[in-house]
Amino acid sequence: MKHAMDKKFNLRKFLIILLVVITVGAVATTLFVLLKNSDDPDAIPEFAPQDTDNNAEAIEDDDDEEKLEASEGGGAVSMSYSKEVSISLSEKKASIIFWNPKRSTMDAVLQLIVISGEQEAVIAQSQLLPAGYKLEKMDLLDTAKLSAGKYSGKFNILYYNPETGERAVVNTNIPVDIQVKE
Amino acid sequence: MSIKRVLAIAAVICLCAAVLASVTVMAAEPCAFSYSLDPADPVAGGQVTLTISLDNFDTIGNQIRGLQVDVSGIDLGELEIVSRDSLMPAPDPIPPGVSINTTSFASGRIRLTYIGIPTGPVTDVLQITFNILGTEAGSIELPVSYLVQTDAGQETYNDTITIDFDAAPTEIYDVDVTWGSMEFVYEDIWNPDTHDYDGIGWSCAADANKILVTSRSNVPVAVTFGYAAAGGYSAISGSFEDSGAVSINTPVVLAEGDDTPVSTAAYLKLTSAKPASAISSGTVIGTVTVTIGVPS
Repeated sequence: MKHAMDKKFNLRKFLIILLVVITVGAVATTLFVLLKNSDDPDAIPEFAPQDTDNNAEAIEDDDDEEKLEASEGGGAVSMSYSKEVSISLSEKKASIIFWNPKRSTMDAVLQLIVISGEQEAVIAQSQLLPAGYKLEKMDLLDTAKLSAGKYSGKFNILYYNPETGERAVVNTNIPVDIQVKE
Repeated sequence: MSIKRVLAIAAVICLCAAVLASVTVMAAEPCAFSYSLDPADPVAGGQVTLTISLDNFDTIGNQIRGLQVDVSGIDLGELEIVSRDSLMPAPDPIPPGVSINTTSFASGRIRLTYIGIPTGPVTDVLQITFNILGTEAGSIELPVSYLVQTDAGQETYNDTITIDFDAAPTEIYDVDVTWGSMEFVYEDIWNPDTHDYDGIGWSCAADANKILVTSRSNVPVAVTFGYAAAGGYSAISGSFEDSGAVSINTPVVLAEGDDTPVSTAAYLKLTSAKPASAISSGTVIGTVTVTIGVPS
């Protein structure tokens, strides 16, 4: 009788330990995935970032109150940009020209991507660039590994509904020439 | 006073007069040259036209029997010669019947060679148009020498032409992109009359699948449309057609649109077999990428 009870107790202890191990493993896995995604520079945010980019500036003399015409559920963006990008490794900044004028109906997030053969790497990613704002500086990601020279790259511009924060199903790529200096 | 003495004095006077005359000629106003640049503030990557001028032809031009202008130090890695032209009037030949009015280039030097008597007023003598290579701001100095042959003799002048230029201007692109709702429905409607399905395939409301790209850039742009299926929906492919239902498979080039905006429209077309299971309304099944590049 006692032996049976001991056996039952050991089984229960085993199951408890097993459940604890599974629970700890699940929590650890969840934390790992969440942290990885937040650090992953290539992760495209599905919803608009909460904060306007620190480097964003209001476009001077942008008095255009009339928005571009966009059908319901669609979007309309106006952009002015240069395809020349200059990077200072010492300042860890990229100098760009990208404007999202007021007449755009969408907010934007800008990724600066270096292309080397088949490989692409995001070296800078902005926070929110609302309509009516321009970006002329981007902070390089810590993961950006570059040396002085010329590179091919692109802007990947993502658009977000300013009311719902949802990402649009249309995005824009703009090939750029990147000059990296020490 | 004897006649001999009078004649001797007259001869001396004549000789002095002749000497004085020649000295006067030899001490005539020197040639004055200048140069101008157009535009006055050139930029790297752009053109500049150098015009060399004679400023005092009115006083010495009719004495010119030959002119040689050398512009040296031309580095073809910095300056590309677009044109070089003599602006001198056609010369009348000088004995023994020689007249030359040409330009030449060799060893980094452009030379204007002019032999003869100018048949008309002379102001601008030589014009050279360069392309300034590179993109950085800078300064180029070109030594110039002028050799002028007149009745009185030969005169040489040296100077330096300085071409200061700013960095190449940054090209600014100005583009609008508008798009419809991109909401599609897979229609699979049984028609009891025909015993067949009507409207098989993906459909959408009018212009819901339309993407319009408008350029106001002062340079041409090349627009490419791409579709990528979202994870789990790789069986659904996307392609693009123009307003005439013609497939768009190559970049669409839009000309300069700074005076009049230029546009191109593409319509997304989805193709697949009937999805194995129902797809909830609002599910993102793919994304459209509009690439705005430079025509090759």
